[in-house]
Amino acid sequence: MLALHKLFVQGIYGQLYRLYRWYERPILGPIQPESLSDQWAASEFVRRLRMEHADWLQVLHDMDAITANSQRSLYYSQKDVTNLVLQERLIAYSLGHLGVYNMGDYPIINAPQGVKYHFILASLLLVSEADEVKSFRNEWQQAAAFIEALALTDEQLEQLISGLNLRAGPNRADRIKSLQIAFAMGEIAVVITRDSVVVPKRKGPEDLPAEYYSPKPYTLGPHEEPGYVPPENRHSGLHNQAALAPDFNTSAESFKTTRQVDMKNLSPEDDAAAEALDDQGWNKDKVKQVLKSGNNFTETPFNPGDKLYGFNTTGRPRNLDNSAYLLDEASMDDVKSKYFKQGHWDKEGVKDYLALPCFNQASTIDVMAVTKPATGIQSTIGKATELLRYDGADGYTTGTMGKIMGGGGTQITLDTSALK
Amino acid sequence: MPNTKEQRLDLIENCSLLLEGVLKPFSQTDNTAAGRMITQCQWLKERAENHDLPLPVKEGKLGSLLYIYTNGELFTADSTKEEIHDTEVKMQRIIRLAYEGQLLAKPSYTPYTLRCIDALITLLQTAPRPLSPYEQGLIPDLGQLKRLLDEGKIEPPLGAYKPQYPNFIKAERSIRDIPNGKDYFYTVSDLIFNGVRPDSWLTPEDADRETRNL
Repeated sequence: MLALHKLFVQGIYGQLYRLYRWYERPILGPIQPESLSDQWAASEFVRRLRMEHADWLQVLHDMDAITANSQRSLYYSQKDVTNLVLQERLIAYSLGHLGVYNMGDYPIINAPQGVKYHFILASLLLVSEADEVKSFRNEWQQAAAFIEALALTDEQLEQLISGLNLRAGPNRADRIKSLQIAFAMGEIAVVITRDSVVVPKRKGPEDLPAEYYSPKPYTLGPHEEPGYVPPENRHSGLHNQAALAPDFNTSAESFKTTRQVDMKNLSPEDDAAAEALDDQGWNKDKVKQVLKSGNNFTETPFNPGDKLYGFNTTGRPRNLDNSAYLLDEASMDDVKSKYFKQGHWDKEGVKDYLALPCFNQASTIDVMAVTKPATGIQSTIGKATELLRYDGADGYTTGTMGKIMGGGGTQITLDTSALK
Repeated sequence: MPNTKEQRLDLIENCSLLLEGVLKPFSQTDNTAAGRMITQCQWLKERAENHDLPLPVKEGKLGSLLYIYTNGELFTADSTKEEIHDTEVKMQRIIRLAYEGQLLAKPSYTPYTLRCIDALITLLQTAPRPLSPYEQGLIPDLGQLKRLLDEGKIEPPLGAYKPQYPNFIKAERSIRDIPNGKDYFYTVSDLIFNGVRPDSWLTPEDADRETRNL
C-alpha cells in the first residue's frame, strides 16, 4: 500500500528509495539525491522501480500531473513520472539496502546535561523525523573538531565503528580517521536529543531574538534574569555556521529562480497576477521577477498597522518600501513554526523555505507596518538554485557547490503606496 | 537580439555610476546585498571592458542584481526618494541591457518615439470597435506623454504605469484585439516606461526608416 505522506519505493534489485516531492519540507543534512538529469537515466530509474500502475497514478494525481479519472497505460504513466523527475519535481534519494530503520538501533553517546548523540547512517534521515541534526558533508575540519570535542573513550569508539559498520584499522587514530571520513563523505550524521529543556541564563542578546518581530514572543524561560546565556545554535547546514561566509568571487554564477515567464505571452493566470501587480504600482521588471519567483497567486487584504517582515543580514536595517518579497504575520508564523527551534533560527531551513539568495544571512528581521487599507498578492515561493562556496577564516573552503532551494513558503507583494 | 558596442558602453557607464555612487561607501563582501552588488557590477563592467560579455547574459549570472533590485535591498530608512529613483533607474537599465539584451531609449531617438506615440493614438482613434473607458483615457495620457517627452521634461524609463497613468494597466489587456494594438502598445510602453527601444533601431537612421510610414 502506498503511503503518500512520505513516498518510499523499492527498486527491482532490492534498493529502497525515498521519492521526495518538490512541495515537501526540504531534506536537510548530508544526503545527496540520485543523479537523474538525463532522459535515459531518469527513464531507466523509473522503469526499475517496483510500483503498481495504480500507485503511479496516485503519485501523478497527487502531483497534479493528471486528473483523477485519467485513462492511460503504464507506459505513459511512467513517462509522465520520468518528466517529473527530469523537472526535479520528484527527486529520488537512495536508502541503499538499509535494513535498520529504527534510530534506537544505532549507537548513542551520552553527553553532559542529558544530551544524547545518536550516530546514524545519514540515509536514515530520509526515514525519521529529527529536529536537531549535525552533519559534516565536505566539512573535514569541522568533523575532526566535533569528534575531538566528544573525547571518546576507546570503548565508545569501538561502539561507533561497529554500530555504524565502518571499516577501520585496529588503532585509535585509524578509527577516528574512519569516523571523520564517514562524516565528510556524508555517510553518517548525528541526531541530537535532550532529556529535557535546560533553561539557560542570559548574558547577552540572542543572535536573532524572535521578540524583535513577533507579538507572540518566543520564550525559553526567564530571559531577563541576570547571567542568562543563550544556547548554542545547533542547527545543521552551512548557513548556520557563524564561522563560514559565502563567497562568490570565483564564480559569478549565482541565484536563479527556475520558473520561466514571457511577459508578452503570459498564461491567463499569470496575466491576471501581472495586472494586479501593475495595479499595485510595480514596474514591469519587478513584476516579471515576482511572477518568476512563485505561483498560486491570490489576493489577500491588509489593514493599517498590519506588520510585514523581511529577513536580512545583520548590520544594515532595510527600508521595506521597495521590497516585492515580504512576509505577513501568518507567513512569518509559518516560517517560525518550522525553523525556530530551541531558541535559534535554523537559517539554512529559512533560506531553503523562502528561497533566499546566499548573501542574505537570515540573521535579522526587518519589520514595517502597512499604512492604509490595501490588497496584497500572496504567492507560494518557488524553487531557486545557486552555485556558491563557503569560506572559513583559516583558509578552509567548501569548494563551489550547487544548491537547490525548494521554496514552499508564502510571500506577499503589497501595493507600493501602502508601505510609504 | 542586438549585441552591440553601444550596449557594452552603456553597461560600463551604468555599472560605473553605481560603483562610484550608491555603492561607494561599502566594501566588497558576499554576505551583504551592497557588497554582493559591487561584485555583480564589477564582474559585468570588467567583462564588458574586455569584450567578453555576449548579450543577453545568462540569468544565473545576474541573480544578485535581479533579486536585490526586486527586493529593494540597497535602501534604508535614510535613503531619499531621489536616491531610490536614481539607483533603481540605473539598475533597471543594467537589467534591460544585460538580462534582456535590449537597446536603451535615448534623446537622439525621441523624434521616432513621438511618431510611435502618434501612431498608437491614431490606431485608437480609428479602432474598428468602440473603445473602453480606459482606452479612451489612454488617448489624452499619450498626448500628455508626447508633450512632456518633446519638451524634455521626462526621461525614460518612467517605471510603473501607476500612479500617473493607470489607463495603461487596463488598456494593455484590452487593446490586444485591435489589429497592431499589441505591437504598438508594447513599443510605446517599452520606450517610455521601460526605457528601451526596439531591437531593430540600431541607429537613428534605422529608427527613422522604420517609423516614417507608421
